[in-house]
Amino acid sequence: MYFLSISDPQIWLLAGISILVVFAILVILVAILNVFTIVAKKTTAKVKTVKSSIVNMEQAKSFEKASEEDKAAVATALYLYFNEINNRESRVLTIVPYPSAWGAQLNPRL
Amino acid sequence: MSTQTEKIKELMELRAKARIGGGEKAIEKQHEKNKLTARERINLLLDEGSFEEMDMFVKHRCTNFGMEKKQYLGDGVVTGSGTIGGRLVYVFAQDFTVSAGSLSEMLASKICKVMDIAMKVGAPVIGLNDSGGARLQEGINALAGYAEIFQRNIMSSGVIPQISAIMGPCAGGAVYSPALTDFTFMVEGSSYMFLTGPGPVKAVLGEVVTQEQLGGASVHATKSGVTHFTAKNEEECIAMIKQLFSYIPQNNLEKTPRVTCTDPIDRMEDYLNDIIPDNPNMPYDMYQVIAGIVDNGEFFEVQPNFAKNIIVGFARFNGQSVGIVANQPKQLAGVLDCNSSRKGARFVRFCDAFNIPIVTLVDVPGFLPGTGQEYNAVILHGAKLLYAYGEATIPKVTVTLRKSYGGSHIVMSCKQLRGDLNYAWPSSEIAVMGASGAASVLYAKEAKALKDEGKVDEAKAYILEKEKEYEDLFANPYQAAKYGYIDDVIEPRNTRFRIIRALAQLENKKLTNPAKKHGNIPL
Repeated sequence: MYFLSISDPQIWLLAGISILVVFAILVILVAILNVFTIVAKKTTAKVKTVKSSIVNMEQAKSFEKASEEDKAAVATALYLYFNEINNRESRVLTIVPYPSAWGAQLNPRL
Repeated sequence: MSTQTEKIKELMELRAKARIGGGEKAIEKQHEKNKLTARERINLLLDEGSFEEMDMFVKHRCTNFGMEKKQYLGDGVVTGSGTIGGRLVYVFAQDFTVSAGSLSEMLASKICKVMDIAMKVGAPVIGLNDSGGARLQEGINALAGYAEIFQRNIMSSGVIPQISAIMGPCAGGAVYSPALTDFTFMVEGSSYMFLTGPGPVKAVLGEVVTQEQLGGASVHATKSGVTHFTAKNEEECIAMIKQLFSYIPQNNLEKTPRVTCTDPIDRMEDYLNDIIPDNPNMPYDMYQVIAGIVDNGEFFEVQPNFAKNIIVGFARFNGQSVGIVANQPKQLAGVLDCNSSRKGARFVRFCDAFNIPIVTLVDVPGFLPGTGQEYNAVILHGAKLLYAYGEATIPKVTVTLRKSYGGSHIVMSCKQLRGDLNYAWPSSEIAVMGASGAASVLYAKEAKALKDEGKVDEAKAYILEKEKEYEDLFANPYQAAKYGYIDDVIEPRNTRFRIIRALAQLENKKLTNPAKKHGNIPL
């Protein structure tokens, strides 16, 4: 229990410096990790974008080369797919507007 | 598939389920009976793609008698809005494939909802009825549902036009909703209306009748006058509803839209000058007169097979919708009786409620006499027609063609009942009664004295001489014209133009009755 005894007048100063050093190292480590994460994310996104655009271009080129029948089949499949997942409703407005006294502010019968 | 897409698919599946009502088998059964389903009827009635359905996911709340297991989306009625010729209309069609279209609390609430919206926006309501009656499992809730509908029928009466089509059974309390509406259509062979069916009739009265004999379309079209129109099939029925719809306005604050008139307004029909027979007791066909004066000869008759001695219906003059009331000399000499009076009164009141001018064509020898009529309250029925004409504030144009005698002269839109423009043909006879009747009453004493002296032939000659005198004095329009009771004597072939000009004059007519809660029409 000798080392816990307060015999050295410098002991409080030494203890304070040690704690500061430990916390400083921790903060530096956190900062380094954050930088690594940001750099890693950016790199992945760039790679993905480049890859998908390459795929789309290839698909588009192959679709252009496809026969008319194939194109029609693809179009029909897409049409049926979208019809199936959508609620088909009439989008024609058949009500013909006309002037009416019914909704007038000054109703002649009131 | 994303969660949202799955939800949309679920919606579609529910809608598809609702659209098949009681199921494919029930639909097949309906078709086997030569009947359409509720949705097929609506599709025929409305403009293509205009129908917007409401309350598709409503279900009943009954748990009695295992009803919780019998759940159908929509609960036996299809409701919503759409257009007919671009004009907004609200519809409900009972679906017989779901529990025989029986009326439940929730089914009634769906009907009430469309009726409420129709009243808010001022649009007509068309009901296509095909129901087995109240849903017995729901007990008093079903009756309450009927009452809710009836109350709305009453509140809508005279505000928005209400049309009912009976396309299947309609029995018990259910009959009152069509009865409260303005016009009722029935399909021959497949529809019937009665308060108590053949079963109770046999049990109570011992009378054996079929459904058709008791309340079929022909019975109500000819005997009771409950229905206004009959059709051979449902397609024809729906076509007739559309035709009627073209003659009536959206609500009581509007006029019926004018259509382009392709018939010359000054068209003259020479045959009209010769249509009245020289013998006043000879009949002629009033339909020929109507055909000669209205646009393109088109006349949409209401109740054509009931009380044929009066003709009522819609036609157009210069594209304007008009109600026509005319005596028919070919039927009972055109007399007024119980049935013809109430038929005419109801039509006049409809026209007045919805701003449709009335053209009255008069050839009436009087009221039908006899105990049969008196016991059936011809006084009250005649008073209904009198009341209806007297209370009406819409433009009223009257043309007297031949006879206009006594009380029936007054009833048929005379000048003192606020007839706006009253015309007469030169052949008209406006008097208290016919010459023979008047002479025999006026000179009864003198004729009797001659007979008592044994001068029978002289008595007859005396009466004939007096008849001639009376005829010369009153059997013409000029006595009435002398006192301003008619506005002009016109040439028959010119009638079309004169009516069109009269209606043009009266276009902006403004007349109001004294403020009151309501009158007390002799019901």
